[in-house]
Amino acid sequence: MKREKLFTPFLFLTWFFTPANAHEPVFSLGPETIYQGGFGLETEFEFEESEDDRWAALHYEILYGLTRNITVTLSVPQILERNEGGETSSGLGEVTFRGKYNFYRKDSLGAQHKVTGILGIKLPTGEDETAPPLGTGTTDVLAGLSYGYESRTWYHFATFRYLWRTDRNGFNPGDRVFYDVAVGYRPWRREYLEWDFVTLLEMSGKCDFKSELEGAELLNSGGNTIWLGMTGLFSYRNLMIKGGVQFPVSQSFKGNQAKDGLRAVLAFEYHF
Amino acid sequence: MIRKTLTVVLPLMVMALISPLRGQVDEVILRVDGLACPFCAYGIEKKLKKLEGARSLEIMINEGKIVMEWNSDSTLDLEAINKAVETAGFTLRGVRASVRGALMSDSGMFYLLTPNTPEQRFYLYESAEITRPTFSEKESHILVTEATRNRLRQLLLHASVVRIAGPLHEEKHLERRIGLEIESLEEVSS
Repeated sequence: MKREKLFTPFLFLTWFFTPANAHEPVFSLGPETIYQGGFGLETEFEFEESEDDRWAALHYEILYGLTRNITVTLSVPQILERNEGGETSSGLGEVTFRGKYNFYRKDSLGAQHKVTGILGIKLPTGEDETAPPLGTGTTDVLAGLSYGYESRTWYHFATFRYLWRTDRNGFNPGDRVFYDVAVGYRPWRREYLEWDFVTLLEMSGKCDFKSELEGAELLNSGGNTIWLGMTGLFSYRNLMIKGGVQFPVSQSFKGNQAKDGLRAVLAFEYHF
Repeated sequence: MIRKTLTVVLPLMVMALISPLRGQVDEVILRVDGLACPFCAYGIEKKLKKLEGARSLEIMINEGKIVMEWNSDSTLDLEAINKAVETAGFTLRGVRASVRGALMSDSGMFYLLTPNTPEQRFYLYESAEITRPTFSEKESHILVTEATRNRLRQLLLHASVVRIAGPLHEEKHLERRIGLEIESLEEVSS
């Protein structure tokens, strides 16, 4: 039970808060790739709380456009504070490496349709012996698909991701599915070299499969949470500031598990 | 023999007559699809600014248009422009330009010659008659209507410098030969 509690929240933060780029949803990943040869730097502050746990972290991310439709990203999280039951810890979190391949794009005047494949790997770089731990000690793999439509006025996105979790000392926290949809609106159709603002209504969901210990399913594991919230993306030329808050609107857990709480993000992104 | 000599000598004579300021690509306008947001358009600005001839550019997102002032010393490479737009993650739908140059004629076809980039020729055509000239050396194509042909002949007699604006296209197998559709034609001087 204790081990289960230690693992579950951490993986939540690592894979939910994968800093998004461009006009992607703030709490998810979209189909966007950066231009060929382009670099992006992003710093993202994240906060998340549940009934018995609280997180605050900074993500440092660098992305590079290998081609116009392939972007690779390295993300390094610094856990500012993890507080669980009065115990706190901080330090390096789990480093992730992610690739995106945009295999479908249809352009029209002022609009783009895109479909992109996502593949990521989380490395066991976080300390997993501290209390509470900052890492899982495992290497996990994420794969997904993202569809997006962007126009001068409206945006919509749908993303599906699957996380394969590996065993550690006989414990497997169970695979996880992320499903996200978002609708965005640009109230003012600003020109280039003018500030631009887009607001999004984002719904994010996670569905956990049962955890296993030595091959036996744990009763207090598995479940589903859906968050809903508003986010905003403010940009000028190659600089973007974005952020938002999401609240849980639906939670169903198996057995006795801590409820999820709100989460918030504030990020700065710079392309060059 | 005489024709060949004229083909070589006449452009040189005309180039000597017109000053650098009087003959050049004035403006290049790109029609680009996929420009949905200003933040994403930064990539296209960066790519296009790397083109040798791009002096300055203005991105008009709402119109899907990019206007570039072109350096008179640089040839216009449509393939490079297309590559810049494509690698930025957008789709180039068309290129238009306003070109000032010396009106010339070769094998029944008319073209514009700009003095600073004599290796580049802008072959003139009208889409109403023939939508896409092939620039074949062997075949003689009538690329303009009889009325326009007569007007061009008159201008040619006066060794005129003209400004022609319209869509451009490039034959990939023939370097530095660009088709310029005559949408507007005005005599700058004679």
